[in-house]
Amino acid sequence: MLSNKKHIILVFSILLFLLTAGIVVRKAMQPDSYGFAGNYRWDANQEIMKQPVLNQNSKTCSECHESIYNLHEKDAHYTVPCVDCHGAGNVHVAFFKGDSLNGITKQQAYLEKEFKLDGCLLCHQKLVARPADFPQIVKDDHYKFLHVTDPKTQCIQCHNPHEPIFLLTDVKNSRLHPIVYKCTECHSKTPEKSPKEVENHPTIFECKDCHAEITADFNSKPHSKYIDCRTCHLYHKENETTGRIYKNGNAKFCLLCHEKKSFRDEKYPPKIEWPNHVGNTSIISKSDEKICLNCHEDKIHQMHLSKAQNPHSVNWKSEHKDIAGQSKEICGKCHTSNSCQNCHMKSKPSSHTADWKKDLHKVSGAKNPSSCETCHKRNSCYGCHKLDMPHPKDFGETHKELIEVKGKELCSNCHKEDFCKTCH
Amino acid sequence: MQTPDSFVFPNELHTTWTVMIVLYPYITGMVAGAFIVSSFYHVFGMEKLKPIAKFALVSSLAFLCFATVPLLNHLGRPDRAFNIMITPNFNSAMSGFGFVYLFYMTIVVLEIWFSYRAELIDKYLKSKGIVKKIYWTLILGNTTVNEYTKAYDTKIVTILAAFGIPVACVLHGYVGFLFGSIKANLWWSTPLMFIIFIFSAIVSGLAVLIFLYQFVHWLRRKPVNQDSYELMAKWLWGFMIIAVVLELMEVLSISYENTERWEVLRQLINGKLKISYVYLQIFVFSVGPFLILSATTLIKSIPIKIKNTMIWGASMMLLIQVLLMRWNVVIGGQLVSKSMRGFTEYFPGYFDKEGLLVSAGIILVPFLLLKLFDIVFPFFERPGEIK
Repeated sequence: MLSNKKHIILVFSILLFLLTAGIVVRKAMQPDSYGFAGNYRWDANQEIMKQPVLNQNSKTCSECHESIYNLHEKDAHYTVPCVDCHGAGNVHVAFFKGDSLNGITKQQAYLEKEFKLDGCLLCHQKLVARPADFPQIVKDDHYKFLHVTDPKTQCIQCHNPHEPIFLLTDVKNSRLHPIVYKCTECHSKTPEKSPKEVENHPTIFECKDCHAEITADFNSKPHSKYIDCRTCHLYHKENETTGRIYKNGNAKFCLLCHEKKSFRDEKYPPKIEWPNHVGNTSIISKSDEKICLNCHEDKIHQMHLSKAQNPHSVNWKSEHKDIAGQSKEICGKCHTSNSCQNCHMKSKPSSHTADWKKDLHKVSGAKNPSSCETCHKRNSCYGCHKLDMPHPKDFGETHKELIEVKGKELCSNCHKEDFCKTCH
Repeated sequence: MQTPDSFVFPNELHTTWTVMIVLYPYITGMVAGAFIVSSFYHVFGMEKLKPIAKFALVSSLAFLCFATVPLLNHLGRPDRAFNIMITPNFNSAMSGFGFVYLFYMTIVVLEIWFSYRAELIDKYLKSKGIVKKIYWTLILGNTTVNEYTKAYDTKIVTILAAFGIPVACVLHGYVGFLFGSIKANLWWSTPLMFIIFIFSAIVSGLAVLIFLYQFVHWLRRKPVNQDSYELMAKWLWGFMIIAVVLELMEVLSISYENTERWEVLRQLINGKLKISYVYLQIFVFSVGPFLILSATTLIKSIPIKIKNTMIWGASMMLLIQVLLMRWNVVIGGQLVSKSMRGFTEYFPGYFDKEGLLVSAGIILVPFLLLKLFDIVFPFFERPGEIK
């Protein structure tokens, strides 16, 4: 009887209704552009693109804050845009460019300085996930090392965010230096054995390998008990084979540890009151950036020893071409296989002068074709010459067919118009 | 700060799938396991299991209601949960689970409705006021109940239960598939994963039913149905043997293959998972219940009271064993670096958003819901009720 099945029909009808309603609701609620290019709403891209740009370019900041901008560009923070610490700055810029009529008050236009401890630690907190060569600290260890007694001390009380390591030269022009590894960049803990004691360990250079005399001198001085070479000569890795090394002879760098401050232990390490320490003596020029080294060289190392044990001569940069050209295996004894490209792909060799493309390269290319392949691909000659260069040995016999196909104009790329008459 | 051993990639330091993802297969396993047990009676006609058939079914629904809660807590923004229905992505393995879950939920709710219809009508007729209206809504306004309707209901319940078995297997097998199909993970990537998950689901389903059945009867100071109880214990014994053997055979297979992944998995088992996997999951909570259930099944002379306590203890141990298995799979798999050269660490924290306190809460809430369900869908006969 149907009445006994009524509840069954009812429940499955409800189920069917819910299913149909679900499909209808889905159809109605699904955004129009959903699924156009994947499982997302395509229009969302357009909406996001229409939003006004809030973050101000560092160049915009430089229009008013030129001196700070220049200082910032010179030092290690040059890759950090202003907005990272100061915020988007759109209201600030609008107000000072004369948009105060839009209702922006001076108070609103004031830009917060986010140079608080947490702000700095956002990048410089020690994390195992960060590249090991990136400057990073464990706050307590850092304060302990520097004998900072007040735990509330802010980073900016010692470091200037616009000039964090007080470089003497522009960071971008600092010396290129082969890779310098620390054991902890690969190992989670400092290994018990040195790399030389471990069989088949990749070659790792220590400072003393090239700078033996100066390292020995440094090791005999008081500073060596507390710091190592890289504490002052900060090394910034740029790629797998090279980086830049900074000198840090600036007095402000020395003062990071040795300036008397209220939040530091008074006795240790030895501290001075700055600038009272140098007094009013006219012998010392306070504007001399290396002012500390002038008197205290004996506590660090003798500065003139710096290049005494360098395996390469002073003019190595211009001279290495001949040795490297003979056999790259010589370089490979110390450097990795792509070390050459790291320089040559970034800056042109000194030989590549204005006349290089026009006349000079064909002489060098003909003499040692493989030397081009250090940087250029084997077939890169083809891009200009439209044929393999230098000409193969049998070119005299085979060039006829080539000229028939590509025309005489091809020869005039390099040769004078009457060049053919030399033979024909 | 987490301190990794040896070499791990930076994106492996944070264990992305937390203890919430441990609870998700754990609760889903109990859903599927409890439903399969109820189907033993409804589909296969095991009369001895009749006393727990309804209890198993309602338990399944109680756990099902909370199966996705750990996921919602883990992902955040639970208000977006239904977007999976509005903007379905059929290429997503996880959204596939959403559809299987919905289908399975429909089957369980229908089966419970047809099972309890006569009782709901009876309660509707006896109740007054707002309660009467609630019951009226639950029975969809239809009060026809007679021998014919009951026969139809039984028939539909059998059909739904028959449908439900493969869907329950798919539901939990799918959870296993979600892990097993991640080919980049050395510890998860095996086609055996979904089979292991199905069997461990049945074990957890049986274990939770035995545990609760004894516990509820102990609270009510009533004896359990001994035939039903012992049969469940035998099934539990059988299924736990299959589940544990499959898990161990899988490890044996990897170790005998001795490919490069075994080098790091060997260290994982002997290092980070030594306590939770080797000592606890295998030796204490697998071998232990196996010996106890072997004794209760094979030795006839054990006094009933001691035997029931032993079975109850074994069921509790197996509940912990399955939880440990989920932990060792989900967390263990993430402790190994893709570099095959290092391990990271994980501890969920006590009071974190995805910490141990919240986890305990999420496990307990389905049991409290079950207590509420007992009011509407009574699963055990009460004193004075007509059998």
